Amino acid sequence: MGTVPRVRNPNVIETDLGDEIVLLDPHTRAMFTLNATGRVIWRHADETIDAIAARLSAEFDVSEERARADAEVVLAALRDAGLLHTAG
Amino acid sequence: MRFIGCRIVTATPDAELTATLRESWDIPELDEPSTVLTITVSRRAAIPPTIRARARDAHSDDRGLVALEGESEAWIVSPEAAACVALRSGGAEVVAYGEVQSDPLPLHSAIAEAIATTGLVPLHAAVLTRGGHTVAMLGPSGAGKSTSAVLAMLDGWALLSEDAAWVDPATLDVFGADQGVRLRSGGEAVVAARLADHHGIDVAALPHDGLKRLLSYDAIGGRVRRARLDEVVLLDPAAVDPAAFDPAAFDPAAFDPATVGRVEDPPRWMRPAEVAMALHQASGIPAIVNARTARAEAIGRLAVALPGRRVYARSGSSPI
Repeated sequence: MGTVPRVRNPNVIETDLGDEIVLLDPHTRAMFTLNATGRVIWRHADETIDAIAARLSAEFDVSEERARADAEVVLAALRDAGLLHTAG
Repeated sequence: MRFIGCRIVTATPDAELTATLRESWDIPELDEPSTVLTITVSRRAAIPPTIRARARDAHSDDRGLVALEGESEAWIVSPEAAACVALRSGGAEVVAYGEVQSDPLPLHSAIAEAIATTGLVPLHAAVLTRGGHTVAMLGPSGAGKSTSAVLAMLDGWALLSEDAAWVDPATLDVFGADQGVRLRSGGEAVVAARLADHHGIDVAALPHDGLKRLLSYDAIGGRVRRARLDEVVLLDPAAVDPAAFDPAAFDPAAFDPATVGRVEDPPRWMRPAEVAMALHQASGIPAIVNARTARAEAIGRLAVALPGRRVYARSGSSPI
């Protein structure tokens, strides 16, 4: 199955607080918080969904199926917020 | 001129420019033994047409200023004046254009951009201290910071700032940087009687800048210039209900900014991420793009080090 590459918005300002991360879009002034799971998804958003799911599964001891579902939700939200773009 | 480790000089002798700068940036009490950054200020007559054109296409903030961002150089533009701030090796350069005397806000904002590159975090905040405990009250315009600050001052708290402060994230030192208290009409109504009783001040006779009354710190017994910050309080206007506020029933003697809130909704501790978001809103976004990562790191340090509470303003500065 083909996948459309994702890239993170390079303008986003990250504030890492350990347990959570705050993302600030300097152009819209919108802010978002991500928990530990969301941070992994954000940091590896340019990878395939399968690779992200594998990371989540390994780090948080959840099934890859569950991890994939969570990742899809978060990636969609990040895309809708303008924090992720489609490359190319 | 010295301001928290920054040295501000004019490129050439310029009495008018120096006088404008001294009002905001020459604060001997905030002198530090070592100079971290030298900011050289000069001025030119006319705003470059290309800058005017770019500013016309951009959004302005609530002060009417447009920030034209750049990697290491940025412009702050108002209808009548502009300032360019550029980071150079060994310091920063600020050039002011246009009607600097009548509209110094772009110049001051540009200097603030330069100072912020030293790692200090600017805060749009009322900062108060009492008994060794120092609180920074954050919140959007109209949330009640100024009114709450004056009420707290009347109740024994000392003011560092009503509107503008700087924080050093390495030491948590906080510095008051504004010139006095500015009250909206709603805030006037809340504090007028007590200011008259305690300080003999006729609020209606205070200077007015078209939006707010200006109350000097000298008139209210002075101010504290620096302290160590202990806590952040976010005034949340979401639950403000001006119609429910009864000035006659308000008991200022019971007011404490650390506990303000509706009885049925006690103050709520914020997670560090919430504190960070409040600090981001209070400090703004650097127009110099290269300074943004450092600002975020500084805010992260503050958000982890400082407890924060979300409280509901009993009333904002909106007319009652």
